[in-house]
Amino acid sequence: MTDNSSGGPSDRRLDPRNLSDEDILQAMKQISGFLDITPGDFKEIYGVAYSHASRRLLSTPANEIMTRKVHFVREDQPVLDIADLMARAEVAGIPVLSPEDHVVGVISEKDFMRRMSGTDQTFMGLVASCMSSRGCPALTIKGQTAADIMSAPPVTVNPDTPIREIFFLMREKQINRVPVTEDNRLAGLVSRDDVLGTLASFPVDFSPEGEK
Amino acid sequence: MAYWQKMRGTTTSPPRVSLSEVLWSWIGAFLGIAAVAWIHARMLAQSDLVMIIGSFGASAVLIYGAIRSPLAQPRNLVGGHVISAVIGVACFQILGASIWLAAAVAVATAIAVMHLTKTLHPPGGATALIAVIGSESIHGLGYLYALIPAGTGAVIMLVVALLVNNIPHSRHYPEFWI
Repeated sequence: MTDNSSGGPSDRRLDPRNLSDEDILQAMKQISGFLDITPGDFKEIYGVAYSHASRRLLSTPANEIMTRKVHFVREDQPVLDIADLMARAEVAGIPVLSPEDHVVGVISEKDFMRRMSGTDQTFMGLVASCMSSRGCPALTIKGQTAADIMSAPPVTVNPDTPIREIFFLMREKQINRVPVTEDNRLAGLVSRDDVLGTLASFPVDFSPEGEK
Repeated sequence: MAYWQKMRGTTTSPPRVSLSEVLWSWIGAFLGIAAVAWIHARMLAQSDLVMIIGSFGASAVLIYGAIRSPLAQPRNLVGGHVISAVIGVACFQILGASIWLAAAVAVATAIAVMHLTKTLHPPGGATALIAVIGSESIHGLGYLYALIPAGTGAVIMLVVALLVNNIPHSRHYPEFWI
């Protein structure tokens, strides 16, 4: 679905720029007392204030939205262990730490898929492969360790990286989580859900500062 | 926006207020003006002092009729009248030989200083003007004009505004003090 045609969905989105004079007049009628402000003034103030709020929200640093208690695995941990841990913890991705506690990689469901043969690297490919009784594709990586299957080097952010950057990073790298590191050490993890949870509260204006 | 285009306006007039708002505006204005007019007529009649000046009619519009307005808040009401009064008297005393010049400088300067001190109150412009073009008795007051009637009158009207504007459930006053 594209919304670049006029009259498309973007025109109906609830957005401060879509407030009509009628909406504002209705509100002014509902609020008792004489407001010595025109609907136009209100719209202008609201629009500018909204951009400020938007910018403030988008500059929320990683350490304010990240999950602090993060499961992790070691480089030499066998993949069976990792699969077990991820299943129990109900996570789809997990950071990998070196003996010095540095974040050296991330393992996601995608990494498992990628290393298994005959799955077309998708969950449905895996299901199809299992059902056609060619044996379980996961057996092909059974003897491997975290270091063998992880994505490395990891995409990480700093505690003060703004949510705006994290959003674009996830989109560009097609990843669903980024470890937050401080001096290479794991400080937390920002998942796509953490980002959406912060941004979902209102439609945010992603245009760079000053741009209309 | 092109120069001529600007003159077409950009938005619509705010809605009309409710009848209760109209009624409470009337009551407030009646009591506020009554207070200063009564003091003027009954208490100061034998003296050279005055308590009521034309600009209080304009203040009444704001502090009883548009009580949410930033222009109608205590800081603006009292500050605007006192500051403008001082400027008006000074302009008359310095430039009084040329009344038209004194009048223009007084009002323009009053607006500028009210802006700078965040006390913009439109009736202040009238208070400054009256100090220049007013009667002999106004001129005779000198800088006392800033205290009586300007300052005292504004405070009396403020007290009435505080008492009356907070009676109805739908109203509250002020929005801020300082």
